[in-house]
Amino acid sequence: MRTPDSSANQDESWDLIIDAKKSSNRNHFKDFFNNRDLLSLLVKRDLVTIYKQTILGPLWLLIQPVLKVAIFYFVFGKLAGISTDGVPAVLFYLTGLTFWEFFATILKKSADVFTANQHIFGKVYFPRMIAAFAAVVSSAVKLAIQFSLFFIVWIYYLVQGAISPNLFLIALPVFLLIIALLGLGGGLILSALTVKYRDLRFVIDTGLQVIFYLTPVIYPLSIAQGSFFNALLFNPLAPIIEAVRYSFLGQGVFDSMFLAYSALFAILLFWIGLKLFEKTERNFIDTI
Amino acid sequence: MSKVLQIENLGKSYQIGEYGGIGVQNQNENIDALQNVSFEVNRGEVVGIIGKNGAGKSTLLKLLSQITMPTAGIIRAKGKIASLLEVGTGMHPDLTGRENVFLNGAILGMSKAEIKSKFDEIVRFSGCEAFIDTPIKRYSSGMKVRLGFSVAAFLDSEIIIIDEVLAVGDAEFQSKAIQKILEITADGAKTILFVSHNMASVKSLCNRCLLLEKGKLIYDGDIDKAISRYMGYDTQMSDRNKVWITGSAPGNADYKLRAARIVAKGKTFEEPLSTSDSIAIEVEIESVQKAERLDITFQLMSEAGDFLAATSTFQISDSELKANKEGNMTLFSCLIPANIFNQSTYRINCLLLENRKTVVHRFDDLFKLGFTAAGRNPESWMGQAKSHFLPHLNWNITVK
Repeated sequence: MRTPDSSANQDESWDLIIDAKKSSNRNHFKDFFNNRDLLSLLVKRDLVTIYKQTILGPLWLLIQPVLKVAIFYFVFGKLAGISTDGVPAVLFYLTGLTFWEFFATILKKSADVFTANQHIFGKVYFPRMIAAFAAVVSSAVKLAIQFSLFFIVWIYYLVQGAISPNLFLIALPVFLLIIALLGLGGGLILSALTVKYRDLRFVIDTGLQVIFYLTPVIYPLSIAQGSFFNALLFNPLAPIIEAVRYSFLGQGVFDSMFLAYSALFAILLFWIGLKLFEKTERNFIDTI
Repeated sequence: MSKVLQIENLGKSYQIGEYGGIGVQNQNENIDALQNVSFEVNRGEVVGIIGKNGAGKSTLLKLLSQITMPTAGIIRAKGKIASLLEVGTGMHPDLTGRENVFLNGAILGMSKAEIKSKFDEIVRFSGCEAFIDTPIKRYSSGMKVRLGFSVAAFLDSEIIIIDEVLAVGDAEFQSKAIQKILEITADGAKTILFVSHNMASVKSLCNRCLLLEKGKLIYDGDIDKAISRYMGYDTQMSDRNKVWITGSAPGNADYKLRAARIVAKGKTFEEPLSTSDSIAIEVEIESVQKAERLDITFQLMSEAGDFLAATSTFQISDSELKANKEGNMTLFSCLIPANIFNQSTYRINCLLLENRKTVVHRFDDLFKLGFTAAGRNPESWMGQAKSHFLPHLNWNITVK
């Protein structure tokens, strides 16, 4: 849309051309640069408003994972007796949960972009991707607090000598990037489809729970056997969570082929999401 | 003069019917909200856009502000476009006034540095200095509107699109807002597109007017002419003697308006009215089934739609306003003495009220009255501005 005009009106330089016949050719990097102040203010709004008028404030971010790990510990560890591969159970669950939450939060937040911002989008124009990205950044900041809890627990067990991390830890940024792309890609696809089919709003929560159990969060991949094991590996999140656990805890399956599959899957999913989002943002306000 | 906006054959069609359900996706019925609209705007112009509901005004604004994409045609623009379709978009109730000024400014397209440099002026203009660090959920609705408008008033965009936002706020703030817009446009650097239903504010702000009807641009040019066409003044003198038969009479199930007349003493219904005529506005009401107290209110409006005066039968006692029994026909006649009106055009609305409180029927623009000058042209001795009324009052002149 914001392209220099080449065909018509050569004598005049227009800053903005909206042509019904030409599809938009977005430059997301330029959009981000031009709207960086808006991005930071939207992130700030998300972070500040959630915990206004609460007593514990951001402490809630720590209480949630602690409670969940406690539940996992008693239900899956004690009651069901599912193995944790010899890793201390609390650390085992916390590792899986922290990275799972990273994926799930990004997916949920980005899937909600059009519906959550419908009012603003109906009155003011700015690149819609800014709002999607702001949602992702603010959830990333919230997750950083949960990551710090994970690191403290991890260091505690490390000092105790209960775990043996390895050099694959340096690939952590790559793992995080793949998880983020999977979440954002899936979220953008869902955001575009929810505009037309509200049904998907109900599907997201249930769907996430199904994927949660298909991902080795509360159990190690090593106990999944035979055809079930093979099926699990087609879930692009499974190799990542296992690889993360392998690098942090020294226990888990590290398979570079399946990791490459995850990475490719993530890039493809993100690209499809981006294209669908671009297509939807043009006219979604007429449908929503 | 340089063009800042060029619209070519712009069109937008919407799909009508239900979306998303199974079985209806294939239904491809479209409705054209906007068709073949073309116009150009030069730098510094203040263009009013008027039209009835559903004429396509909002659609045009949405396309210009990029909220949705056109289905046909091209929009070309020079400079930044800011759209003000609402005041205070995106403001969050839990954030303070200060935080919201920054958030709203950024949403409207300002940078942090820009907002910072104008912050004091914005707050001063809004008059919310004392509450700027209070969450805006504790603000009154008027304060929220003032704060929102103040942010928008300091936008530095070359093209500003405004939709009805002046309709909010109290009278004092509205006039302040209009003053501010006049100030913004004074140096001729900014271009404004302004949609409104208030013809008076279109008239005071704009120097050009676009009239839309059923998605088409039917007039582009002089404001007065556009307003006249919008009001349906192509037939200047409307019928001063209206009679309805039972089936087509306006009203509700209980009361019907059977006749309405403007009677001028010593004149036929066709002769033009002069300001020196004393006239009577008459309506005949049929009570179909109920026999409650029925009051009539006449509202006098200016040509542009300003509310000038009203009169009603409220002060008349129940006994005097003889009970209009079922099947009765009642004639209400309101006498207006000579030499009240000015040489101008007026519109008269008629309201039917039951038991002094419930409006049972409202008849807008029952009459459109034009008065010719009697004798001397009033303008020659009353100054340039034309007043709505020019009454002959009693003067006492004593030589001492």
